[in-house]
Amino acid sequence: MKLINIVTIAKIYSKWQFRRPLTFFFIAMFMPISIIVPMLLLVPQEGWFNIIVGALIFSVIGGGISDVTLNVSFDREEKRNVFLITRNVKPMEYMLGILLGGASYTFVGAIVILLIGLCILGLAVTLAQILLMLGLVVIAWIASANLGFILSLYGPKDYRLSGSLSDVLLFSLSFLAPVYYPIEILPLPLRYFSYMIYTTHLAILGKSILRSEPLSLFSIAFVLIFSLVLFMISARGMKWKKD
Amino acid sequence: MTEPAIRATYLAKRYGDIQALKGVTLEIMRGEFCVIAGPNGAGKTTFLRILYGDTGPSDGKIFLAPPSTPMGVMPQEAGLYEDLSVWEHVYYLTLLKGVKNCKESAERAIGVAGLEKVKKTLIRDLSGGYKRRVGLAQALAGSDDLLLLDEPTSGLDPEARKMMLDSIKDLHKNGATIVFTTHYLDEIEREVDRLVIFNKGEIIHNGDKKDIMDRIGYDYEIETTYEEGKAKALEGLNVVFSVEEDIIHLYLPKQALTPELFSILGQDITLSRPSLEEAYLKRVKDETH
Repeated sequence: MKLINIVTIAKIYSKWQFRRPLTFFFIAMFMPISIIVPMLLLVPQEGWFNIIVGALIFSVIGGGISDVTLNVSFDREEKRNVFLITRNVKPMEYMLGILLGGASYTFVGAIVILLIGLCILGLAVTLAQILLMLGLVVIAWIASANLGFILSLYGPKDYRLSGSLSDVLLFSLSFLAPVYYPIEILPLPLRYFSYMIYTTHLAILGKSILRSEPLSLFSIAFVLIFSLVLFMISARGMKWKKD
Repeated sequence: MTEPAIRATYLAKRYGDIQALKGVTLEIMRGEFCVIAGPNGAGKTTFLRILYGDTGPSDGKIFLAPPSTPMGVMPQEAGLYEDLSVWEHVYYLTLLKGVKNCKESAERAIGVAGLEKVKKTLIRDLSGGYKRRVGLAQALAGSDDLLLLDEPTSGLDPEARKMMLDSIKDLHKNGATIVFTTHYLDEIEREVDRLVIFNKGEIIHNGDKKDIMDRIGYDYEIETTYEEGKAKALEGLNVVFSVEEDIIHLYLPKQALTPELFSILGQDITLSRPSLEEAYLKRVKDETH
């Protein structure tokens, strides 16, 4: 694997944010922040932790699932992979390049939301907490981006349909799962079901980090194993199509 | 032109029930300008896609002599990265080729493709003709040995087409092996070393320009206004002719251009040599019927 190929592909897939700053601003910041505002108005102050962590996770997994799905599906539809095939770029280099390219702007959005959240909550956080939150963002990003790869590899060929499916997935994982609200308010059977969703564990970990509470080892293990499994599935499926 | 740059042996490709290539065998020599022509769906693009590794053959073998630089490929349909500038597009794709002096190679390719004035323009703001030129520039940057160009002039206006052809001709003069698919044979008539015609997944002609021109069966075509007397006199001369919409068409070998013929036809004549395109069309028509 060549690092220069990964970096070059990352540059190709991250340039759009400079060329379409308004779109970037909308996706990375305006959309998650616009969801924070009405929620903060409706939810009592003790629930604000949930809202901030929820917005952060929504922003990161939105960037991961939607961005990767659209990039890979659109490349397939436009037959742009030919450029990479004829240059002997390996599928794994392409995959890592897209991950790196998308990470650069997803993290900008995530950090802005985190800073806004900390200001709203009036929290003084330690360096260790910030590093843990960044680690959580990276893991959330890897898992979500790999969901995007899987959706574009095994999902519909039409990139618009893939994009719509990725949005359905994003909203299900962010709003149906207990991300913006505490898991405790769910009835017991639904609670068990929610524990099988990785965003539930991301939210549990995020809230624990901000509250300086001990982290759940089960949630850490779940998120790490889930991310690893998704990465392995997408790496296995990521091949140049030879019809 | 002694060593083969490409050798395909009994190459076959099936897409479900469709047999796109039926055992194609072809050798293209180093430094050759090989034109692949054929009607739509003849198998030209499939053949090229196998050469550049976008798809594998169902059967048969392919040999590519290792070029000193990576092969340059201009695919027919691939979209460009619309949010990149022309320079970024060419430079990044040159970087991925892993060649030395990427910046110089990209600069040179941009110059050859006539893109200097729009170097900083975003791809999404370019016209279709300029986008084709970007396609050419990305192919030839860092690739001096072997270029596979799939209908590079399709959709271009005459000026852009001439510019692109001039660039490709210069590359050939500098020693590049060119494999060029096209529907417009007239535009590359002078440069062709070899013409390969595909039809229904098979090669129906593989030879130099003279081969196919000889097969057309005449050296000159003469058109003249129909007059009954002329037609009768021509029958007496035993020459091949046809009458369509008050025009007499004569198809003649060189030795048939006699003073006697011209005295019958008078001054109302249009004399022309058959073009490569006409020879190609006749060859495909003969094969189809």
